[in-house]
Amino acid sequence: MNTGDTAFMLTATALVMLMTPGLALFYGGLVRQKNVLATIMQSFACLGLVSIIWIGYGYSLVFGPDIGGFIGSLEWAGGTVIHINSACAALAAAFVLGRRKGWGREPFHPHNLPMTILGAGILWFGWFGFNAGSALSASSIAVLAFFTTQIATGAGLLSWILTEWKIQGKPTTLGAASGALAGLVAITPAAGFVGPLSAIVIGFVAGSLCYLAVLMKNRLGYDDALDVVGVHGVGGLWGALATGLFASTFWNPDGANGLFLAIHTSLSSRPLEPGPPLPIPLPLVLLY
Amino acid sequence: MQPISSGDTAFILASAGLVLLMTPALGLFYGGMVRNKNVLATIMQSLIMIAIISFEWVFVGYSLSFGPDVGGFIGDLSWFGLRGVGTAPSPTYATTIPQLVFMIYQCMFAIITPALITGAFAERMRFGPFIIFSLLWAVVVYNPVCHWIWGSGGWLAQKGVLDFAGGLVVHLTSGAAALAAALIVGPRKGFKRESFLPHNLPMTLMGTGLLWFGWFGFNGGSALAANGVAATAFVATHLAGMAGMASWCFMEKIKQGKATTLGAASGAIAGLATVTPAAGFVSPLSAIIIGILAGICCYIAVSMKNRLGYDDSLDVVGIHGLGGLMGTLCLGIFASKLINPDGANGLLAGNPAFFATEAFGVLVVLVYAFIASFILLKIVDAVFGLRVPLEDEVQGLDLSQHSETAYND
Repeated sequence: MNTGDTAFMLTATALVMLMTPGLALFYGGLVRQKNVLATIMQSFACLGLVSIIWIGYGYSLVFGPDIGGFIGSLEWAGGTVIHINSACAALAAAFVLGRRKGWGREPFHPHNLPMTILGAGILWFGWFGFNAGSALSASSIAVLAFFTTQIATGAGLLSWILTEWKIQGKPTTLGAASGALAGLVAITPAAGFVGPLSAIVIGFVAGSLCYLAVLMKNRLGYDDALDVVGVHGVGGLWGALATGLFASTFWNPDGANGLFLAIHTSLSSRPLEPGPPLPIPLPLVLLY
Repeated sequence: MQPISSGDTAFILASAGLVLLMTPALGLFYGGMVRNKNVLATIMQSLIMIAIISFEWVFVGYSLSFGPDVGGFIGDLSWFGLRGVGTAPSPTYATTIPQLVFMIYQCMFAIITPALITGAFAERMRFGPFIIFSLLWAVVVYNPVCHWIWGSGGWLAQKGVLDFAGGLVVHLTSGAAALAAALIVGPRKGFKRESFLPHNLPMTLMGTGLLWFGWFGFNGGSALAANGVAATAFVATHLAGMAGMASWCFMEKIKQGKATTLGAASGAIAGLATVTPAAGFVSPLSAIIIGILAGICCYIAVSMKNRLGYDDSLDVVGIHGLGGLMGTLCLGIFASKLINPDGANGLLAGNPAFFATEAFGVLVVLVYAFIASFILLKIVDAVFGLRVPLEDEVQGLDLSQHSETAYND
């Protein structure tokens, strides 16, 4: 047994555990004052309930001996398993439960934005355990995932508030928190498979894309109260596609080469060097 | 080439996560201390640094700070965009962990340093010009000073100046910049006539707790390996934090009759900031003395602030500036090779020359950071205008800068 890896995984596990109360605070700050405890409780209760289910039979169902199952796609830390999955459930729930009373007529202002930002900070922190810990050892791949997580999240934050600044005139703190979350969600399936500059592009696109998705929500007419579909669904979907575009065996030999690298290697016989393929991020920055 | 150590890698990755958490924590620490019309803008000034400085760091900052040396003053740009920085260990820095780990760990330090300055101009700074200033400050002040002290070939490092985890690089640079900013931006409307009460002290205390937690990564991780030096730094950090909290509260009790929670928070941060340069080089008992001195001196500095007439709104100069300065001098006094053979012997171990070296380091960094920040602020002020118009200041920055309000029914 490797003590370094064990220490790393125990720490990562505790970080991921912290994400659930973090999420509770993130959501709790966004609802009206009369609903904050119920919202927090919905996340918090999962800590108890799902732990019991997992020990009881969940672990065996998921990781036990296979019964005719399949898995084919490349997925780092839960883009499809977690984000697209939960967003589809969220979309279904928004349709089945219907809208909140007063939807479209009165604004639902977040009752406590500092609470939401605290939640976002804790989520970001915990996400290092989520993504880097998904290497399952304190290896160079864990390092890559840690780094791409940081840089994509920064990019998501920045691109959300820049888009917001352009379209609505002011960069908001809610936008910063949401943009960071969009970046985190999008990098999750790609974190251990892509290089740093790809991570910047993934985060940057995620921030703007999710912002536009959230902006369109009201026109589509469903009340996804705290934007699970717009951020986790759209972000997760983009992240999964982006993994297919940007993945590189230069960065992770156990991964695969994505579309861009396939095109590149078919055009030149030379494999990609680590370093800045500048033409990719620059136009994105210049757009604003 | 040394093999990669999984234990060291795990420890520094966890430490990097802890240091990242310090920046939103700082946002809460500061956010609780302002009036409720400015809380979001205050938090945002810390939060946005994570995005802005991470970019700066990846493209130029890391290379300027740690890249191949140019005359002892700055790194060159050969690592632009992390060219050549990968999962192999660096031959120079932290040789048992992938270089990307060292890079991202140092990135977190670069992020929190400009965020610290924001306490000096809280409640009156425009958002756009603030970002421009911070970006320029990272390039002109943080990266060079970081190179001088921590970079391979840096001129202060060559002279023997030691700084374990950023007393000079982080706290003194941000404290000096904070002083320049408070002088240039000017006091808040109503300064000295009305009292600016903190709107949410539990938020500040929450921020303090998270900062303390994160500081174990900041100081413990600066050993760059999970070894005895990390343990020394971890212990010193905790002891100085608690001693600072105790002595600040004690001073308040004597001078004002009551110990306050804001005092406990400020004292803890003063102790933590002050022990930062010394953490891996001093004994546990020295750390306690450093913490006690920090609580007393920073308390006096903060209570003298109003008489000096500048509005350092959230006491960056009195706590981080003074703390970094004092901590570095204390390192010159208390350092001992018995504790860390790679360190130095200080004044008490019979080596006054090392104390003089540390004092020289303090002087250089203080003067450079103050003058460079002063010039940068003047330029940004002349080109963009740093301060919000009076009506925006009265309305509050949350609405005027971000079109948001923090608390709604």
